[in-house]
Amino acid sequence: MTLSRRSFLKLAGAAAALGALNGCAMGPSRGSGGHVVVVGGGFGGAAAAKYIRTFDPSIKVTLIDAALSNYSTCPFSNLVLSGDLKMEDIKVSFDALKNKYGVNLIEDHVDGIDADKRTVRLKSGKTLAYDRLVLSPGIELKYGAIEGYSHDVAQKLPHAWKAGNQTAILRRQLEAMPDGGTFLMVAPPNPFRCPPGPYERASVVADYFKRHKPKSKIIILDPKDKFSKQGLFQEAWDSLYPGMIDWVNPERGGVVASVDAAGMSVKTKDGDTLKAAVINVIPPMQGGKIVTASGLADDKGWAPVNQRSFESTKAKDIYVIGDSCIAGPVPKSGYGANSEAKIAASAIVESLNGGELIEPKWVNTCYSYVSATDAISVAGIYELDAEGKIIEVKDSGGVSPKGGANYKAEGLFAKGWYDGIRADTWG
Amino acid sequence: MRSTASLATALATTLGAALMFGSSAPALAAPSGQTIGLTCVVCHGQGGQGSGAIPPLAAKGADHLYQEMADFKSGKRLSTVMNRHARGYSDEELKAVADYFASLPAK
Repeated sequence: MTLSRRSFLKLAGAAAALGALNGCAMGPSRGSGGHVVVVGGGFGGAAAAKYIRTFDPSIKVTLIDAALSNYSTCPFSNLVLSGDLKMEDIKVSFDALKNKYGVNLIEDHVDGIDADKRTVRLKSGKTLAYDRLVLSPGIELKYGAIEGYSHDVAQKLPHAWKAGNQTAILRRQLEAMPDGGTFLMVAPPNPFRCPPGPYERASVVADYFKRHKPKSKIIILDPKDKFSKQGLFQEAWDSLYPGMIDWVNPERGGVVASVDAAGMSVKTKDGDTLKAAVINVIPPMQGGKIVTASGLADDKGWAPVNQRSFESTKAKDIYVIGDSCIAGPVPKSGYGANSEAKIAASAIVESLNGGELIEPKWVNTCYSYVSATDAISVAGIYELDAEGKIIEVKDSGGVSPKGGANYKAEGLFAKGWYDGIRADTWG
Repeated sequence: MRSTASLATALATTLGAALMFGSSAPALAAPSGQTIGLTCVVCHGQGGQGSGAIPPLAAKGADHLYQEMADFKSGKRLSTVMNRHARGYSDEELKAVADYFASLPAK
């Protein structure tokens, strides 16, 4: 066959994009121009910014986040709590996004969106116009859902569910805790960011206690009947930390009614009061404030989006990705957000260039450490069904086999995963 | 040739489809090799160059890459996580993503 001139130009464009992905020449490919504003510099927002610039360097991209100069990843932050990593190990630099991919960076809060005028208003007072807007604000913690808990109380009873200063506070408390103390965790209800996260945290803190404070105990008060990778976690707890971790389900009184920061205690719905030396309260969550405040969320606080493009079903030209959006079975994880970001980036580039949406596919792989060196994993592969809903591909994915034979190998792969996803998102 | 070649369609896949189906090629019903490949590079490194203990994929032969994935899918070859991943793809998709990584340069 002969390629038409038009087709040839498109192939040339695809070749240029591939070249860019390989780190070769970043020649202009599609050329529509336009301005995309991305709110949120985490796994979703940063990857969206990078891949929009990669797919079409003619598009100007501005990334806004209030913590650009002090951003830490939630993945691997549990290893900071256990003392196996330092805070600087989980810090992220946005230099490559700026210098290598030409993303404009603004360190600021976004206070509001005018979807009709297509502008965002910044806390500093500035207004920014966009052609397409990407919102990847992560989660908002619902402090008020637990009596006695608040943003201020979280300085004493940290959630450490947004990495950074909160991680450092909880690490200091665990370090200061005497041997024989109790570390009490209030686990969140579904849906929440990082489903295996609380249980990885309990595991690696147990490993820290085993090495440094072996008489200590961990209590997890959980409003859920079951949790991610439960069989694997409980198997690891029984073999590595026998008797140290007590997971309390709702039937046994795991639902928390209130917390008392002054008395360092937690009261359950069943009326029991538990005292602890360190209390980690992970409250219920909803989509980021900019999503709920802008009328982009449903009545539960999460943003419904077109499942092929991630464009909001409530506002044109606004795309919501990552923890804040509803993406069927794709979990609220860094990997999930990164995977959604690439599909949304492609959809935005196609929409600005008058092209068609691609056939999507998403992946999630979450490693969880069960000790400082050993890990387990869950994998998921997702696609659209005939009705346009995201589904997990039948008979695919799932968790590591039981028995611990892969602990060491998965511990190494977890590190490769972390370095890899950092490079793919910010590097 | 279909009227709109999506940007995120890998050049190799597009050319391959064009050569195979000529001008009557239908719109691709399956995700492209690049769409799939961009979910792999999260672990397997930028441009498929590997990341720590996770092996590189770039510039390996397409047949070799496809066969490895087919063996992971069937269970003929065992791994920690790749069996679970490989079962998420059709044969057509495995070939497309193998072509994608084969087309990327080694470091």
